[in-house]
Amino acid sequence: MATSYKPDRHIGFAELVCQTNFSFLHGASHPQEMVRQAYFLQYKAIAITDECSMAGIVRAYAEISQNHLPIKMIVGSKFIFNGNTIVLLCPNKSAYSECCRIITNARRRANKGEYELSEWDLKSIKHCLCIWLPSGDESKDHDWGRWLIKHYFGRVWLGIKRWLTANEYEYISHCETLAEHFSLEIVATSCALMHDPNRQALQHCQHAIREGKLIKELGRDALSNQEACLRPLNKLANLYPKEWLDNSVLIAKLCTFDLSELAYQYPAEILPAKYTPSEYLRILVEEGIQKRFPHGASQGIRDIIEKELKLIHEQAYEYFFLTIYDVVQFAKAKQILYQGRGSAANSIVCYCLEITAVDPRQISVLFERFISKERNEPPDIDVDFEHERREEVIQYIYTKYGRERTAIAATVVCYRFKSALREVGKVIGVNTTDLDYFIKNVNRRDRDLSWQAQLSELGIDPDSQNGKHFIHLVEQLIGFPRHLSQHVGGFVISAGPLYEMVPIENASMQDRTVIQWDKDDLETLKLLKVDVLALGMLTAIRKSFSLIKQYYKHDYNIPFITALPDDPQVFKQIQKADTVGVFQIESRAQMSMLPRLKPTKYYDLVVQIAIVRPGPIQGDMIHPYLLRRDGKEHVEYPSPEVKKVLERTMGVPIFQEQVIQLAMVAAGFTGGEADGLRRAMSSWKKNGDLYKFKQKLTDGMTQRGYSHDYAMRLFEQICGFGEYGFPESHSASFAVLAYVSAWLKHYYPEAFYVGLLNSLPMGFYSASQLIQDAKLHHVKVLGCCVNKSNYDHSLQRLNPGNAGELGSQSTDLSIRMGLRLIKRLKADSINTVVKYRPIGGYQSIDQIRQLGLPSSCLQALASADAFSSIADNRYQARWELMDSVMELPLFAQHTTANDSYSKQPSLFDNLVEDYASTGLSIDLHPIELLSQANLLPKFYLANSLINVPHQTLVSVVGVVTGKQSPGTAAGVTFITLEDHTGNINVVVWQASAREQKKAYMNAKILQIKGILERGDGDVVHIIAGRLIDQTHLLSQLDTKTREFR
Amino acid sequence: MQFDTSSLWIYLYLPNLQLNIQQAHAEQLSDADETREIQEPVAQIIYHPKLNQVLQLNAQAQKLGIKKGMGLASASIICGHLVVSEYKETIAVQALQELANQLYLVTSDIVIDEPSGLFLRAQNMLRLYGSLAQYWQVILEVISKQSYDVYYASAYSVNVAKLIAKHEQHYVVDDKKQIQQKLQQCSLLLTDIDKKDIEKLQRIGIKSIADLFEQPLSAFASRVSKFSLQIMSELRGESAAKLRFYQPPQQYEHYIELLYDIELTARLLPVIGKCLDALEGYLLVRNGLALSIHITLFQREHEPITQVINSALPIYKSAHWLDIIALRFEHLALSSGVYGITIKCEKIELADSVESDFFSEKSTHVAAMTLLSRLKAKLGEQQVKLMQYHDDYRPECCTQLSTKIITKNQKKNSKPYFLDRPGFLLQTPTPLNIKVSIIDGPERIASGWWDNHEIQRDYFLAESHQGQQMWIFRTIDDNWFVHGYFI
Repeated sequence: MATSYKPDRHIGFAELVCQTNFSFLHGASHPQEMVRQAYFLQYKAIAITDECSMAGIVRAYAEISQNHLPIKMIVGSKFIFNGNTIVLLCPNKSAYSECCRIITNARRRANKGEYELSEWDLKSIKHCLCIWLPSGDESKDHDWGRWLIKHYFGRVWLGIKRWLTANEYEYISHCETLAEHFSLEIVATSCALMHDPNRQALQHCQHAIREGKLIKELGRDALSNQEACLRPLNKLANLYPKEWLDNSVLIAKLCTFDLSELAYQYPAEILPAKYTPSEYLRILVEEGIQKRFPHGASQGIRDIIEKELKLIHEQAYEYFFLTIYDVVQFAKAKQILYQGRGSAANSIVCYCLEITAVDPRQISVLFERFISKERNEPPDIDVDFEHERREEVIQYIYTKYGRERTAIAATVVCYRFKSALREVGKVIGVNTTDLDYFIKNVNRRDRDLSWQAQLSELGIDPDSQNGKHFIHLVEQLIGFPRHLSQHVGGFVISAGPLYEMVPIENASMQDRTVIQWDKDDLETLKLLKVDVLALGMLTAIRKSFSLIKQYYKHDYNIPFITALPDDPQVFKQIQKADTVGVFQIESRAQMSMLPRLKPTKYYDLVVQIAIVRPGPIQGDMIHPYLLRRDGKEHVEYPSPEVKKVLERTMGVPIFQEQVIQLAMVAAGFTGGEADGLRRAMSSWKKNGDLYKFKQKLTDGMTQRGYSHDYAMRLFEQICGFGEYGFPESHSASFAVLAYVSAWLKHYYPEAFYVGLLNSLPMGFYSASQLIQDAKLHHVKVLGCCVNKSNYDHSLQRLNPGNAGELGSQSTDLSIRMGLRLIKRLKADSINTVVKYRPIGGYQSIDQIRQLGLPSSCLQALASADAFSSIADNRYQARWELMDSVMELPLFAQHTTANDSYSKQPSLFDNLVEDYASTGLSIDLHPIELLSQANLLPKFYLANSLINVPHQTLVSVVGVVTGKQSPGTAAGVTFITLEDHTGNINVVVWQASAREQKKAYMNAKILQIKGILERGDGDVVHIIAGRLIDQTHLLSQLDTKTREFR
Repeated sequence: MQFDTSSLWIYLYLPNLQLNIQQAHAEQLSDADETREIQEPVAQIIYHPKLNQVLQLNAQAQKLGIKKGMGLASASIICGHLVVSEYKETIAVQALQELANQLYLVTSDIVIDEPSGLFLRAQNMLRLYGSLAQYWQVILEVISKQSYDVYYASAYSVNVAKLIAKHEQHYVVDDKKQIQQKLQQCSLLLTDIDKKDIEKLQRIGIKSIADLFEQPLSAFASRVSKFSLQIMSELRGESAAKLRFYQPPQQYEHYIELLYDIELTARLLPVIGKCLDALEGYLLVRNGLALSIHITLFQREHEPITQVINSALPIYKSAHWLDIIALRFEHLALSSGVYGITIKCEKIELADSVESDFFSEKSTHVAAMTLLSRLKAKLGEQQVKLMQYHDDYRPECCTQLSTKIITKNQKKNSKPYFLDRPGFLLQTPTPLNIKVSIIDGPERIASGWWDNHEIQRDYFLAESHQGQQMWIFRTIDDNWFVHGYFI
């Protein structure tokens, strides 16, 4: 920005009408850009007046307060009512509240994204100032002028904008006549839509997107020039009489409302009347100590509790803790499993309040690690609930506090590369097939080639006028807000009506409302939100617990298991990477790290979960950590302060908290700066804000005697962390669930798998993979059956009356597949089948047909071979079912089928049917069948690879069950092959994949010839050399098995 | 129309029409451009965006592993430099019609099976051609003129012929046994049976026609849809399909040979008038009108001359046509004597479709259109342009000349013109070099960044000392121009 701008000293101006890009597809500048530009142009003030919205004001406010800009910001909003345009400005807090109220009313009446103001709304405004922008229509303006004088007497001005359009003088003299007629003062305004004239093209582009037209088709509906922007004072002085400009400053002076006045009040009902918040919190904590530490808390723990309570009191966070306590108490009463996480969740206070199960004795908690006065960040507690029952918790919050006082925070959905490219392309006239082609061919993970360069490779000439426009507009549009959506579970609860603090609008989900601010906005204003999140694993664990209670008569819960000493048996299983279905450590990347990291205690799991993330991987932190932990590399700390921060992770920063602490102790960041750094980290890919901290960090560190090299390395690591950096406070909570699920898998595998299967969809693995894993663990699995299966998967005892023992290797329990597994089978049909099942079971297909199920459901049952107990085979069952005559009432009693069907399904047919109807086959595996039919070349089975030496050339075959090319591994694809004995991990280098694209892309059954590599901890990978697509063998199998018949 | 099941039918299956047409087009271009180096063949696909499926693909694309039915994303991962064209059914249908038109000269009963096939009834042509082989020889000759990928099969039922052909066969025989054998090997997937029913059948183990025929037709009666049952019955030869035969489009063509050669165009007119009378009669009977006719003059010692005569309004009267032709012929010089004349009218418009509201401005419209036709005939099509309004801020873009005629609907949609703009606009602005006083303004126009005609000007209404009101503008570098005058 040039610094030579010197306006005339005598001119004063405040822009009172200004729409940012939160007036979606109207304004063409971010709120931050607007206030910055207004400051640069030396305006006295700027009002942010998005149309029926307050969504952009907090960002503008944050920009001013973070950078200490000496400019006043006025809060307001523009409204169009019956074709009349007015802008309401908020001089004080009451005005702000009423403005929020009418926005809420108008938004709640209309569909998402629209608003519907009523006359009553406008009449109810008693404090706002009003700027009237006449329409130019003689009679309409006179009517509306009269209305305004009647209801807004003494606080209405007539705003005149000059955009240098045709016939402008006529409009101005019309306005002047109106002003004279109604005795109104005139105020000058630019009605800005852009902060800078250069945004005109983008504004046109947004306009065209809004109208669904090409830009060139907008014609005279578009802006005719670039005047709808913030203009220099000199220019304004030429355009408007001084009096009009002065009036703008006078109005601005009347507006004294500042967003910092918004103090948040927690609902009072969570507090019994006779206590202060502090007292009540202490009582609850004392009660908790009795429960959590039945033998009494040690002095050390007592001290920490005192320290925490003091800090909570100083920051006045008692209500926040009490509110969450209230929510989890509800969940506990309803037996909904939950687990708290986040910066404040792992305090001992939260442990005592039963918000978290992380036992402080197992993790050396320093409360300040999670919450600190200096850092001045709001406490963060997210609570995960069972995903199938979270709605109950949400409904509880709504009923307890009422819809007036509760709403979900918004998420601002922004244009990203694909959406921006598509929309811009459409309005400048690129045809859709080309756009699809560009979008599908641009690899955003390619770090060597920017998308701009890739587009030019795909045929867009970046030097041509059109190419330039295209690329430039896409660049500008990325990051622009598009609409407001609902945050995953961040609730804001207040003492009074929420709509007096922030406007509320409808979300696309029925009966959901969102506030117009997102979580960053709430943080800026220091408003607290309660995160009510959903987690599938909690559902699975709860289901496993109840099965164990039913079949083994043991009543377990999460705190009980975590309070047990670390179980070497369980950790042995984890070290072998036998973790399919175990929370967090089940992904391919996590699994390949387990044998190297060899976790032996709870804290190792905390590290494991945080370290196998894109952040630490990109920052190259894993190898040093492993070397140092194994004692192969010496750990040196540049100073005792750094040692204190990094000691627990061998001098390698692994957690997000450590990075923040380092910035504070080593580079002298203040609490506020560290908080800024934390925010920049979480969004640096989006805006690159992180680079602002580079100089400060390196300077700070060199001043404190650290080498420049060390400082640079730290900054690189921070960048690598980027938005993926994982906080220890979350990892600690996840590790609890990881341990509990691993424990269940070890001791109660049957219950564990059933719990998981009944909670799908969740986690990494499909039902097929889970059942494959169950079979490898010698768990017996039985297929779907109309006479044996229930809706859910269940446990069935082969010899009833024989209760299993904890840890016994062979139980007589087996897993019976539930009918829910069958595709295209509706839940109510299943319930009918189960409900009307006779005691001795169904005897014939017709008996089931008489239940009146839709024929598609019967067909689905037949495909899944669920009639196996009453029909010869599925072809026979289907043939009977296909006959529509039998559906007629007359034939209902006609029980025997009049024609028989002789075709028998082959093994292959059964396999195909199994996969088609349930997505898995219990008895058959394609590789097993192919191998029995001698169709496969010589190959190694998955379970035999363990005995093959390092660097051997091997050939393996399997069904492709996973294909991942993570952004962290440049161009490498990890393929998982499955045969009937286990999984095989294959690594395909980019070059091999490119050369053998055909097999790489299409194969369902893949043969790999490659080198077996055995890494640390016996991790086995096959480095692919040749990829051979063997999918065609399946069709040969078809004929082959037919011949066997 | 329904046919007995004893007729022999041939089905021509052309699965890659759009691709073939594009390839042929590309070849023509590269033949014309000899300087081009021979390049590696490129992978080319025809893609259906709504289905997100590759529908047609060339050999190169096949070689790389792209398959029919693949999504665009997978296809473009396999090949980074893929030539993608959007599927347009009209291209294939048009090509089928053209092919049918050509075949109509050699065979009578043709049915177009959109979008990729033709049925030919061979049975009734066998006597004319003597044998199937001879008949087929003639058909092949016609087909091979186009470089289409074509598969074919014959059978005594249309559906059987179609099914065998769809297995990409080249199989024309009249032996019932052989056909039956071939049929038995066919897959159920390529039949016209309802997709849902096919799935049902497959899932009771019926995958080929042979499997299907194992069960009696009656067993399926209550098990599949009526439509599927009909197809099954046709495949078994137990009932016949209903088809609608191809009718060549109507067109008028008439040739007359002159009694003696005529060398002057003026003398030709009365003769042409006679021919036009015949055309008038032809149109009158069919309640038709024409917008365009072709006149070909065959010269004794030179190449024939073809003239396309257009009318702005659809007309039929010979006198009207003759007026236009007379104007056109004024410039026409003959190289040698004309011995024959052809008059051809390719497209006949229906008279009813012409709007005839009693109170509309029909008469003035007709007069204007007649004038337009005559001007075009006299001056040439490209020489006559009409003013058209274009919605744009830039004065020079507001009015454009175009050879196209604006329809009434388009006229209704356009906005009223600017009120404050001068009646007379200079084609190119001229520098302002007289003293003027500014009356009104500025109107700032900064627009047009999207089409490389970006302008940034301030317009003013000004008056000269003589009282002449004019429209002037100032550019961003402070130069002044006159752009128009108010009259």
